[in-house]
Amino acid sequence: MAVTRKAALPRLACGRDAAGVWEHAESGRLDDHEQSCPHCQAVVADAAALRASTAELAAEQIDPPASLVERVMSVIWAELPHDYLPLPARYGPARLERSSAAAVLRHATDQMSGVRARSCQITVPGRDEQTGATEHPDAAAAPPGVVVRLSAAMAFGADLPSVAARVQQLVLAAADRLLGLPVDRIDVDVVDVFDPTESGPGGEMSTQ
Amino acid sequence: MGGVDTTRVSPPRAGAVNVGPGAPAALPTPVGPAPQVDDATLVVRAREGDPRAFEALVRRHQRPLFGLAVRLLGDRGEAEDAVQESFVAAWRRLADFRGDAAFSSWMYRIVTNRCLGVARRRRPTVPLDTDGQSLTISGTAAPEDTAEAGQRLAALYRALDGLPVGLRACWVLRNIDGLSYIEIAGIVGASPAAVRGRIYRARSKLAEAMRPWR
Repeated sequence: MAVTRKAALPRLACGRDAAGVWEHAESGRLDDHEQSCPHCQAVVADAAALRASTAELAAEQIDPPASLVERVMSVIWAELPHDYLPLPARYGPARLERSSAAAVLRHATDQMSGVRARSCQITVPGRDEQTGATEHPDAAAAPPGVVVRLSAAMAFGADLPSVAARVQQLVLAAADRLLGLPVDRIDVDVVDVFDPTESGPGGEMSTQ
Repeated sequence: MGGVDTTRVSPPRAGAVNVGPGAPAALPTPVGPAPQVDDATLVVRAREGDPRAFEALVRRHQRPLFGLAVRLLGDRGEAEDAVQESFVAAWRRLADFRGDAAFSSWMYRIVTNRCLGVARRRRPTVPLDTDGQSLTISGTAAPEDTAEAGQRLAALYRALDGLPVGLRACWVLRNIDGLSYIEIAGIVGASPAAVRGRIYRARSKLAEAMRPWR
Protein backbone atom coordinates (compact mmCIF):
# COMPACT_ATOMS: atom_id res chain seq x y z
CA MET A 1 0.00 0.00 0.00
CA ALA A 2 1.35 3.36 -0.97
CA VAL A 3 1.40 5.92 1.78
CA THR A 4 -0.83 8.80 0.79
CA ARG A 5 1.01 12.04 1.17
CA LYS A 6 -1.03 14.96 2.36
CA ALA A 7 -1.71 17.00 -0.75
CA ALA A 8 -2.56 20.62 -0.24
CA LEU A 9 -5.82 21.59 -1.85
CA PRO A 10 -5.10 22.93 -5.32
CA ARG A 11 -5.10 26.60 -6.01
CA LEU A 12 -6.49 27.74 -9.33
CA ALA A 13 -4.33 29.84 -11.64
CA CYS A 14 -6.20 32.89 -10.38
CA GLY A 15 -5.12 32.06 -6.83
CA ARG A 16 -8.52 30.95 -5.56
CA ASP A 17 -8.99 27.76 -3.54
CA ALA A 18 -10.64 25.23 -5.86
CA ALA A 19 -12.54 23.47 -3.08
CA GLY A 20 -13.96 26.78 -1.91
CA VAL A 21 -15.14 27.72 -5.40
CA TRP A 22 -16.88 24.37 -5.68
CA GLU A 23 -18.57 24.89 -2.32
CA HIS A 24 -19.80 28.30 -3.41
CA ALA A 25 -21.13 26.80 -6.63
CA GLU A 26 -23.03 24.16 -4.60
CA SER A 27 -24.61 26.76 -2.34
CA GLY A 28 -25.28 29.22 -5.16
CA ARG A 29 -23.16 31.93 -3.56
CA LEU A 30 -20.54 32.91 -6.14
CA ASP A 31 -18.84 36.24 -5.72
CA ASP A 32 -18.12 38.64 -8.58
CA HIS A 33 -14.67 37.20 -9.29
CA GLU A 34 -15.93 33.62 -9.36
CA GLN A 35 -18.71 34.55 -11.75
CA SER A 36 -16.36 36.05 -14.33
CA CYS A 37 -13.02 34.29 -13.94
CA PRO A 38 -12.52 31.49 -16.52
CA HIS A 39 -10.60 29.31 -14.05
CA CYS A 40 -13.33 29.56 -11.45
CA GLN A 41 -15.99 29.07 -14.09
CA ALA A 42 -14.36 25.80 -15.14
CA VAL A 43 -14.87 24.56 -11.58
CA VAL A 44 -18.43 25.86 -11.61
CA ALA A 45 -19.05 23.93 -14.85
CA ASP A 46 -17.67 20.75 -13.26
CA ALA A 47 -20.00 21.18 -10.30
CA ALA A 48 -22.95 21.77 -12.61
CA ALA A 49 -22.11 18.67 -14.65
CA LEU A 50 -22.34 16.48 -11.58
CA ARG A 51 -25.41 18.03 -10.09
CA ALA A 52 -28.13 16.26 -12.07
CA SER A 53 -26.66 12.78 -11.84
CA THR A 54 -25.93 13.26 -8.14
CA ALA A 55 -29.53 14.26 -7.57
CA GLU A 56 -30.64 11.12 -9.42
CA LEU A 57 -28.38 9.01 -7.24
CA ALA A 58 -29.72 10.61 -4.07
CA ALA A 59 -33.33 10.21 -5.20
CA GLU A 60 -32.95 6.54 -5.99
CA GLN A 61 -35.17 4.41 -3.77
CA ILE A 62 -33.08 1.67 -2.29
CA ASP A 63 -35.31 -0.71 -0.37
CA PRO A 64 -33.74 -2.93 2.24
CA PRO A 65 -34.68 -6.60 1.90
CA ALA A 66 -37.14 -8.01 4.43
CA SER A 67 -34.51 -10.55 5.40
CA LEU A 68 -32.32 -7.85 6.94
CA VAL A 69 -34.39 -7.34 10.10
CA GLU A 70 -35.04 -11.06 10.38
CA ARG A 71 -31.36 -11.91 10.19
CA VAL A 72 -30.42 -9.32 12.80
CA MET A 73 -33.11 -10.41 15.24
CA SER A 74 -32.50 -14.14 14.86
CA VAL A 75 -28.91 -13.63 16.02
CA ILE A 76 -29.97 -11.41 18.91
CA TRP A 77 -32.75 -13.70 20.16
CA ALA A 78 -30.45 -16.72 19.97
CA GLU A 79 -27.84 -14.97 22.09
CA LEU A 80 -30.10 -13.81 24.88
CA PRO A 81 -29.43 -15.36 28.22
CA HIS A 82 -32.44 -16.77 29.95
CA ASP A 83 -33.49 -14.89 33.02
CA TYR A 84 -36.57 -16.12 34.75
CA LEU A 85 -38.96 -14.90 37.41
CA PRO A 86 -40.76 -17.56 39.41
CA LEU A 87 -44.54 -17.54 39.22
CA PRO A 88 -46.84 -18.76 41.93
CA ALA A 89 -48.48 -21.85 40.46
CA ARG A 90 -50.67 -24.43 42.07
CA TYR A 91 -49.67 -27.46 40.02
CA GLY A 92 -45.96 -27.18 39.53
CA PRO A 93 -43.22 -24.67 38.89
CA ALA A 94 -43.89 -21.95 36.39
CA ARG A 95 -41.60 -19.21 35.30
CA LEU A 96 -41.67 -16.08 33.25
CA GLU A 97 -38.83 -14.58 31.22
CA ARG A 98 -37.88 -11.41 33.05
CA SER A 99 -37.37 -9.30 29.93
CA SER A 100 -40.78 -10.37 28.60
CA ALA A 101 -42.42 -9.34 31.85
CA ALA A 102 -40.66 -5.99 31.74
CA ALA A 103 -41.72 -5.48 28.12
CA VAL A 104 -45.36 -6.18 28.99
CA LEU A 105 -45.32 -3.70 31.86
CA ARG A 106 -43.59 -1.03 29.77
CA HIS A 107 -46.08 -1.53 26.96
CA ALA A 108 -48.99 -1.28 29.37
CA THR A 109 -47.57 1.95 30.75
CA ASP A 110 -47.10 3.40 27.26
CA GLN A 111 -50.83 3.08 26.63
CA MET A 112 -51.37 5.90 29.08
CA SER A 113 -51.48 9.39 27.63
CA GLY A 114 -48.67 11.60 28.73
CA VAL A 115 -46.38 8.80 29.84
CA ARG A 116 -43.55 7.00 28.07
CA ALA A 117 -42.00 4.11 29.94
CA ARG A 118 -38.24 3.87 29.83
CA SER A 119 -36.55 1.38 32.08
CA CYS A 120 -38.40 -1.39 33.90
CA GLN A 121 -36.49 -3.43 36.45
CA ILE A 122 -38.14 -6.39 38.14
CA THR A 123 -36.45 -7.93 41.14
CA VAL A 124 -37.36 -10.77 43.45
CA PRO A 125 -36.20 -9.88 46.94
CA GLY A 126 -34.90 -12.62 49.17
CA ARG A 127 -35.73 -15.65 47.04
CA ASP A 128 -33.77 -18.51 45.51
CA GLU A 129 -34.62 -17.99 41.88
CA GLN A 130 -33.11 -21.23 40.60
CA THR A 131 -35.46 -23.56 42.39
CA GLY A 132 -38.29 -21.20 43.22
CA ALA A 133 -37.94 -22.20 46.83
CA THR A 134 -39.37 -19.71 49.22
CA GLU A 135 -38.20 -18.77 52.65
CA HIS A 136 -41.72 -17.86 53.61
CA PRO A 137 -42.73 -20.10 56.49
CA ASP A 138 -46.28 -20.51 55.32
CA ALA A 139 -46.09 -21.71 51.73
CA ALA A 140 -49.83 -21.77 51.35
CA ALA A 141 -50.08 -18.05 51.91
CA ALA A 142 -49.32 -15.61 49.13
CA PRO A 143 -45.56 -15.74 48.41
CA PRO A 144 -43.67 -12.44 48.49
CA GLY A 145 -44.13 -10.58 45.26
CA VAL A 146 -41.69 -8.83 43.02
CA VAL A 147 -40.49 -5.27 43.22
CA VAL A 148 -40.94 -3.24 40.07
CA ARG A 149 -38.89 -0.14 39.47
CA LEU A 150 -40.16 1.81 36.50
CA SER A 151 -38.60 4.93 35.08
CA ALA A 152 -40.63 7.06 32.72
CA ALA A 153 -40.80 10.32 30.90
CA MET A 154 -43.88 12.38 31.52
CA ALA A 155 -45.61 15.17 29.68
CA PHE A 156 -44.53 18.61 30.72
CA GLY A 157 -47.09 20.26 32.94
CA ALA A 158 -48.59 17.01 34.21
CA ASP A 159 -49.38 16.65 37.89
CA LEU A 160 -46.54 14.23 38.50
CA PRO A 161 -47.64 12.60 41.76
CA SER A 162 -51.11 11.90 40.43
CA VAL A 163 -49.85 10.57 37.11
CA ALA A 164 -47.30 8.42 38.92
CA ALA A 165 -50.02 7.03 41.16
CA ARG A 166 -52.08 6.09 38.11
CA VAL A 167 -49.02 4.43 36.59
CA GLN A 168 -48.63 2.37 39.73
CA GLN A 169 -52.25 1.23 39.54
CA LEU A 170 -51.91 0.39 35.87
CA VAL A 171 -48.70 -1.58 36.33
CA LEU A 172 -50.15 -3.46 39.27
CA ALA A 173 -53.24 -4.41 37.30
CA ALA A 174 -51.22 -5.39 34.23
CA ALA A 175 -48.89 -7.57 36.28
CA ASP A 176 -51.86 -9.29 37.84
CA ARG A 177 -54.11 -9.79 34.84
CA LEU A 178 -51.59 -10.22 32.04
CA LEU A 179 -48.79 -12.04 33.83
CA GLY A 180 -50.19 -13.53 37.00
CA LEU A 181 -47.25 -11.92 38.72
CA PRO A 182 -47.72 -10.77 42.30
CA VAL A 183 -46.26 -7.32 42.91
CA ASP A 184 -45.28 -6.11 46.31
CA ARG A 185 -44.05 -2.69 45.42
CA ILE A 186 -43.86 -0.34 42.45
CA ASP A 187 -41.39 2.52 42.40
CA VAL A 188 -41.93 5.10 39.69
CA ASP A 189 -39.06 7.46 38.82
CA VAL A 190 -39.79 10.39 36.57
CA VAL A 191 -36.51 10.80 34.69
CA ASP A 192 -37.49 13.14 31.90
CA VAL A 193 -40.22 15.38 30.64
CA PHE A 194 -41.37 15.80 27.09
CA ASP A 195 -43.41 18.28 25.16
CA PRO A 196 -46.94 16.92 24.99
CA THR A 197 -47.59 18.84 21.79
CA GLU A 198 -45.08 16.69 19.87
CA SER A 199 -46.72 14.45 17.30
CA GLY A 200 -47.30 10.82 18.03
CA PRO A 201 -49.08 8.81 20.67
CA GLY A 202 -48.00 9.48 24.14
CA GLY A 203 -47.55 13.12 23.30
CA GLU A 204 -51.00 14.24 24.17
CA MET A 205 -51.74 15.63 27.59
CA SER A 206 -54.26 13.61 29.45
CA THR A 207 -57.13 15.80 30.39
CA GLN A 208 -58.63 15.07 33.75
CA MET B 1 -37.31 14.80 39.03
CA GLY B 2 -38.64 12.74 41.86
CA GLY B 3 -39.70 9.29 42.78
CA VAL B 4 -42.95 8.22 44.16
CA ASP B 5 -42.94 4.93 45.93
CA THR B 6 -45.30 3.05 48.12
CA THR B 7 -45.11 -0.16 49.98
CA ARG B 8 -47.87 -2.72 49.86
CA VAL B 9 -49.74 -1.19 46.96
CA SER B 10 -53.28 -2.40 47.39
CA PRO B 11 -55.05 -3.96 44.43
CA PRO B 12 -57.35 -1.67 42.47
CA ARG B 13 -61.06 -1.75 43.07
CA ALA B 14 -62.42 -4.82 41.44
CA GLY B 15 -63.03 -4.45 37.75
CA ALA B 16 -61.70 -0.98 37.17
CA VAL B 17 -58.46 0.81 36.51
CA ASN B 18 -58.79 4.51 35.80
CA VAL B 19 -56.25 5.45 33.21
CA GLY B 20 -57.69 8.50 31.56
CA PRO B 21 -60.67 10.69 31.17
CA GLY B 22 -64.14 9.24 31.19
CA ALA B 23 -65.16 5.72 32.10
CA PRO B 24 -62.57 3.26 33.33
CA ALA B 25 -60.69 1.94 30.35
CA ALA B 26 -60.27 -1.70 29.44
CA LEU B 27 -56.89 -3.05 30.41
CA PRO B 28 -54.61 -2.91 27.38
CA THR B 29 -53.31 -6.17 25.99
CA PRO B 30 -49.77 -6.59 24.75
CA VAL B 31 -50.84 -7.38 21.20
CA GLY B 32 -51.20 -4.61 18.72
CA PRO B 33 -48.87 -1.86 17.51
CA ALA B 34 -46.75 -0.15 20.11
CA PRO B 35 -47.01 3.60 20.23
CA GLN B 36 -44.17 5.44 18.52
CA VAL B 37 -41.44 6.11 21.01
CA ASP B 38 -38.30 8.15 20.49
CA ASP B 39 -34.84 6.68 19.92
CA ALA B 40 -33.57 7.65 23.37
CA THR B 41 -36.33 5.63 25.01
CA LEU B 42 -35.75 2.65 22.75
CA VAL B 43 -32.02 2.73 23.45
CA VAL B 44 -32.57 2.67 27.22
CA ARG B 45 -34.87 -0.31 26.87
CA ALA B 46 -32.58 -2.13 24.46
CA ARG B 47 -29.65 -1.53 26.80
CA GLU B 48 -31.66 -3.23 29.48
CA GLY B 49 -31.87 -6.26 27.29
CA ASP B 50 -35.20 -5.78 25.55
CA PRO B 51 -34.74 -7.10 22.01
CA ARG B 52 -38.11 -5.75 20.89
CA ALA B 53 -36.91 -2.22 21.50
CA PHE B 54 -33.80 -2.94 19.45
CA GLU B 55 -35.92 -4.39 16.65
CA ALA B 56 -37.86 -1.12 16.55
CA LEU B 57 -34.55 0.73 16.17
CA VAL B 58 -33.48 -1.61 13.37
CA ARG B 59 -36.73 -1.10 11.47
CA ARG B 60 -36.55 2.64 11.93
CA HIS B 61 -32.95 3.09 10.75
CA GLN B 62 -32.34 0.28 8.28
CA ARG B 63 -33.36 2.19 5.17
CA PRO B 64 -30.79 5.01 5.10
CA LEU B 65 -28.08 2.69 6.42
CA PHE B 66 -28.77 0.10 3.73
CA GLY B 67 -28.75 2.83 1.07
CA LEU B 68 -25.38 4.05 2.36
CA ALA B 69 -23.92 0.54 2.29
CA VAL B 70 -25.19 -0.09 -1.26
CA ARG B 71 -23.61 3.14 -2.49
CA LEU B 72 -20.35 2.34 -0.77
CA LEU B 73 -20.12 -1.31 -1.83
CA GLY B 74 -22.11 -1.39 -5.05
CA ASP B 75 -23.72 -4.71 -4.25
CA ARG B 76 -27.01 -5.34 -2.42
CA GLY B 77 -25.92 -8.69 -0.99
CA GLU B 78 -22.71 -7.32 0.48
CA ALA B 79 -24.59 -4.28 1.73
CA GLU B 80 -27.13 -6.45 3.52
CA ASP B 81 -24.34 -8.43 5.17
CA ALA B 82 -22.56 -5.26 6.26
CA VAL B 83 -25.67 -3.62 7.71
CA GLN B 84 -26.84 -6.81 9.41
CA GLU B 85 -23.41 -7.30 11.01
CA SER B 86 -23.33 -3.63 12.02
CA PHE B 87 -26.65 -3.88 13.85
CA VAL B 88 -25.59 -7.06 15.65
CA ALA B 89 -22.30 -5.41 16.62
CA ALA B 90 -24.21 -2.39 17.90
CA TRP B 91 -26.47 -4.62 20.02
CA ARG B 92 -23.43 -6.29 21.58
CA ARG B 93 -21.82 -2.91 22.25
CA LEU B 94 -24.88 -1.08 23.53
CA ALA B 95 -23.33 -0.82 26.97
CA ASP B 96 -20.60 1.35 25.43
CA PHE B 97 -23.01 3.67 23.67
CA ARG B 98 -23.01 6.75 25.81
CA GLY B 99 -26.13 8.25 24.31
CA ASP B 100 -24.53 11.65 24.01
CA ALA B 101 -24.71 11.36 20.26
CA ALA B 102 -27.76 10.21 18.37
CA PHE B 103 -28.20 6.49 17.79
CA SER B 104 -28.37 7.14 14.05
CA SER B 105 -24.98 8.91 14.08
CA TRP B 106 -23.49 6.01 15.94
CA MET B 107 -24.91 3.56 13.41
CA TYR B 108 -23.63 5.68 10.52
CA ARG B 109 -20.16 5.36 11.96
CA ILE B 110 -20.38 1.60 12.45
CA VAL B 111 -21.80 0.94 8.98
CA THR B 112 -19.36 3.29 7.21
CA ASN B 113 -16.34 1.74 8.88
CA ARG B 114 -17.54 -1.78 8.22
CA CYS B 115 -18.08 -0.96 4.54
CA LEU B 116 -14.64 0.66 4.32
CA GLY B 117 -13.15 -2.53 5.73
CA VAL B 118 -15.04 -4.74 3.29
CA ALA B 119 -14.10 -2.58 0.31
CA ARG B 120 -10.43 -2.46 1.25
CA ARG B 121 -10.22 -6.21 1.65
CA ARG B 122 -11.66 -6.88 -1.79
CA ARG B 123 -9.59 -8.68 -4.39
CA PRO B 124 -8.86 -6.59 -7.47
CA THR B 125 -10.89 -8.84 -9.78
CA VAL B 126 -14.60 -8.47 -9.19
CA PRO B 127 -16.91 -11.32 -10.23
CA LEU B 128 -19.54 -10.72 -12.85
CA ASP B 129 -22.76 -9.67 -11.27
CA THR B 130 -25.60 -11.38 -13.09
CA ASP B 131 -28.39 -10.22 -10.81
CA GLY B 132 -30.33 -7.59 -12.70
CA GLN B 133 -31.59 -6.14 -9.46
CA SER B 134 -28.15 -5.32 -8.18
CA LEU B 135 -26.62 -1.98 -8.77
CA THR B 136 -23.68 -3.08 -10.84
CA ILE B 137 -20.92 -0.65 -10.16
CA SER B 138 -18.42 -3.47 -10.03
CA GLY B 139 -16.90 -2.61 -13.39
CA THR B 140 -19.04 -5.06 -15.36
CA ALA B 141 -21.65 -4.37 -17.98
CA ALA B 142 -24.08 -1.62 -17.14
CA PRO B 143 -27.68 -2.67 -16.59
CA GLU B 144 -29.88 -2.90 -19.65
CA ASP B 145 -31.45 0.50 -19.82
CA THR B 146 -31.95 2.48 -22.98
CA ALA B 147 -33.10 5.63 -21.22
CA GLU B 148 -30.33 8.18 -21.20
CA ALA B 149 -30.95 9.10 -17.59
CA GLY B 150 -30.57 5.45 -16.60
CA GLN B 151 -27.29 5.24 -18.47
CA ARG B 152 -26.09 8.45 -16.89
CA LEU B 153 -26.86 7.08 -13.43
CA ALA B 154 -25.06 3.85 -14.28
CA ALA B 155 -22.07 5.92 -15.44
CA LEU B 156 -22.01 7.79 -12.13
CA TYR B 157 -22.10 4.48 -10.29
CA ARG B 158 -19.12 3.26 -12.34
CA ALA B 159 -17.29 6.51 -11.65
CA LEU B 160 -18.01 6.15 -7.92
CA ASP B 161 -16.72 2.61 -8.01
CA GLY B 162 -13.51 3.90 -9.55
CA LEU B 163 -12.83 6.18 -6.58
CA PRO B 164 -10.65 5.05 -3.70
CA VAL B 165 -13.15 3.99 -1.06
CA GLY B 166 -12.03 6.64 1.43
CA LEU B 167 -12.90 9.40 -1.03
CA ARG B 168 -16.09 7.62 -2.02
CA ALA B 169 -17.28 7.44 1.59
CA CYS B 170 -16.75 11.14 2.25
CA TRP B 171 -18.46 12.09 -1.01
CA VAL B 172 -21.50 9.88 -0.38
CA LEU B 173 -21.90 11.07 3.20
CA ARG B 174 -21.76 14.69 2.01
CA ASN B 175 -23.58 14.66 -1.32
CA ILE B 176 -26.12 11.91 -0.70
CA ASP B 177 -26.68 11.86 3.04
CA GLY B 178 -26.16 15.60 3.45
CA LEU B 179 -23.92 15.37 6.50
CA SER B 180 -21.66 18.25 7.49
CA TYR B 181 -17.85 18.11 7.29
CA ILE B 182 -17.74 17.91 11.07
CA GLU B 183 -20.20 15.00 11.22
CA ILE B 184 -18.30 13.17 8.48
CA ALA B 185 -15.03 13.79 10.31
CA GLY B 186 -16.50 12.12 13.39
CA ILE B 187 -17.67 9.15 11.33
CA VAL B 188 -14.48 8.42 9.39
CA GLY B 189 -12.05 9.50 12.08
CA ALA B 190 -10.28 12.31 10.23
CA SER B 191 -10.09 16.07 10.66
CA PRO B 192 -12.74 18.28 9.00
CA ALA B 193 -9.96 19.75 6.85
CA ALA B 194 -8.97 16.29 5.65
CA VAL B 195 -12.62 15.51 4.93
CA ARG B 196 -12.92 18.71 2.91
CA GLY B 197 -9.90 17.70 0.83
CA ARG B 198 -11.24 14.19 0.21
CA ILE B 199 -14.59 15.54 -0.88
CA TYR B 200 -12.96 17.98 -3.27
CA ARG B 201 -10.76 15.26 -4.79
CA ALA B 202 -13.77 12.96 -5.15
CA ARG B 203 -15.78 15.71 -6.79
CA SER B 204 -13.12 16.54 -9.35
CA LYS B 205 -12.48 12.89 -10.22
CA LEU B 206 -16.21 12.28 -10.65
CA ALA B 207 -16.58 15.41 -12.76
CA GLU B 208 -13.73 14.21 -14.95
CA ALA B 209 -15.33 10.76 -15.34
CA MET B 210 -18.71 12.29 -16.12
CA ARG B 211 -17.36 14.73 -18.72
CA PRO B 212 -18.82 12.74 -21.65
CA TRP B 213 -22.24 13.33 -20.11
CA ARG B 214 -22.16 17.09 -20.14
